Amino acid sequence: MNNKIVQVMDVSKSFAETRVLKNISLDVRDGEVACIIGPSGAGKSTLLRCINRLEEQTSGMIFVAGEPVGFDLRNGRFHELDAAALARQRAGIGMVFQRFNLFPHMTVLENIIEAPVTLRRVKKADAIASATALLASIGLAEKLHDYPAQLSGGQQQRVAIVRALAMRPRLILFDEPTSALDPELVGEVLAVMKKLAKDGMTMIVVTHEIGFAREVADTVHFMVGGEIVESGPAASVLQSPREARTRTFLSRVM
Amino acid sequence: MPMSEFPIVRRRHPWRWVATAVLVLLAAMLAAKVASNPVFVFQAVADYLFEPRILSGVVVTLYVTCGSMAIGLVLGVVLAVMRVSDNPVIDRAAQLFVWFFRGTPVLVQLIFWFNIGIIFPALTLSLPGGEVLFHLSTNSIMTPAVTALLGLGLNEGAYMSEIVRAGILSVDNGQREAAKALGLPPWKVLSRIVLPQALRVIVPPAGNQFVSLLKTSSLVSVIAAGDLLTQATRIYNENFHILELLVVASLWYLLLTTVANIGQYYIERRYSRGFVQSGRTTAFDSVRGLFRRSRDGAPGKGDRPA
Repeated sequence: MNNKIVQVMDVSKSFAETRVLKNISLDVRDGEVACIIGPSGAGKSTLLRCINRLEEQTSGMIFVAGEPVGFDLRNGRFHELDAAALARQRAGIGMVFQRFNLFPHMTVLENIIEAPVTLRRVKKADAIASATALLASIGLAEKLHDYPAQLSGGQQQRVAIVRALAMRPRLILFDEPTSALDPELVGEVLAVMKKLAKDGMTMIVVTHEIGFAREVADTVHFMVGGEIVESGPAASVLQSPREARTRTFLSRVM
Repeated sequence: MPMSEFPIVRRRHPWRWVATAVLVLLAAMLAAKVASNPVFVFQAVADYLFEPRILSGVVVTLYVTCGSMAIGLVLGVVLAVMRVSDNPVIDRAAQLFVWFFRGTPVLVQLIFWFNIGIIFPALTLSLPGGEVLFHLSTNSIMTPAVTALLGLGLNEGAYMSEIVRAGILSVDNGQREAAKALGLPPWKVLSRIVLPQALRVIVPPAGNQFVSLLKTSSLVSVIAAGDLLTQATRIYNENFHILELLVVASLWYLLLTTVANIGQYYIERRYSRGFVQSGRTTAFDSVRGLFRRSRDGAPGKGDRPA
């Protein structure tokens, strides 16, 4: 828990005239669970999506495992990577989306093994074996050959987590993973995430689940209006926030 | 009080019977009129339906249609991918192609390709030094069949590209993002994730195009490509059974389009895997359903509940 796996350095992002991220800097250490909380429109998801370059920041640089994401540092200049090299970088960064985004034309199994078989050159039989084991560990073994549309939202999101895991990523980004779920299904997804955290996965989680943050997060970053207002150990930010805006937000959501 | 004591009387539909009676009567009158017509020779229809020249015309129509559809599909996918490309030059080039080939009549294009030898009498590939690698007379390459394939195929490509593009645009952007986040390179995102889902939307209008092309292929009779209509025309120019031979050709066109519809049904079902089945029932569906029910009384594998 000491080497920094993610370093966000002075990142800003503008859509046309609006600045959605303003000089954000934050570090995430190996094995850490970092939660980003804040009101909607704060730029939490945009920041998360910059980390695997689904969004391109306007300025600043993000390093994952020491490499600048989307760039190659040569002779003191950042050269923009081509699509194939960027894809290779992304393969090491898992992502779980608010709306699951499972591939509807593929079965659960095909969803999970698609990337490992295509990119990691894993043998298909091995990929199937490890996918089956992963699914069994979250109680979805019998859903192997179902299509996503046949699963509940909670089951789909758990499959999406397994799909990310199958690539053996260095870290996983979670973009409001429980926001699209019916309330009674939130628990099963959070349980899988807690298990991942316990196993030492590095996780950056944009969430509205303050309870989850309090229980699982090592650090909490509170964002408002494109800025990180307060950062620190989960306990201190959530129990005794220094900033007035953090206190106001927390009193509203708890 | 239990409601089962009051039987439910279903609404009657007397107007359906009236409509049926009127239509049957009209059809019978038409049939009687045609049957009693002294000029129309039914025997000629029967005689020429399987005449070797007609059959060879059916074969030519089929391969011209399938061939130009294949060209159109490949070209359509390439053009559609060019249209959604980040590269503005590539996008514009595809737009220009579509603009030109959709904007001019296919009949004009066919005649143009057929006469291309007038302005380019020969195709020559030579090295910068002047050494000739090959030299071919244009007219020897541009036979009526090749012209038909090229003319219809290029035109079809322009129309298919818009259909494919609509399919690509119909795929939720979250699918692309999920594929990119997994580390799939752009080509794999397109070929494994986006296009297979786009096909579900592409197949119905593409089937429509195919049926349309089956009949549009009759335009190649102007360049004497030997298709079904060309053959029918040749025959009635000899024996003057004009209407009878047009009926023969039409019967074949109807048969081919019916087969195409059945093919489309299966392709559609293949590409709607994983999607909620729509409530749409085609005529073919119900015929198929009749057979299945009488055979085993169980719903088939494809009727998976969503």
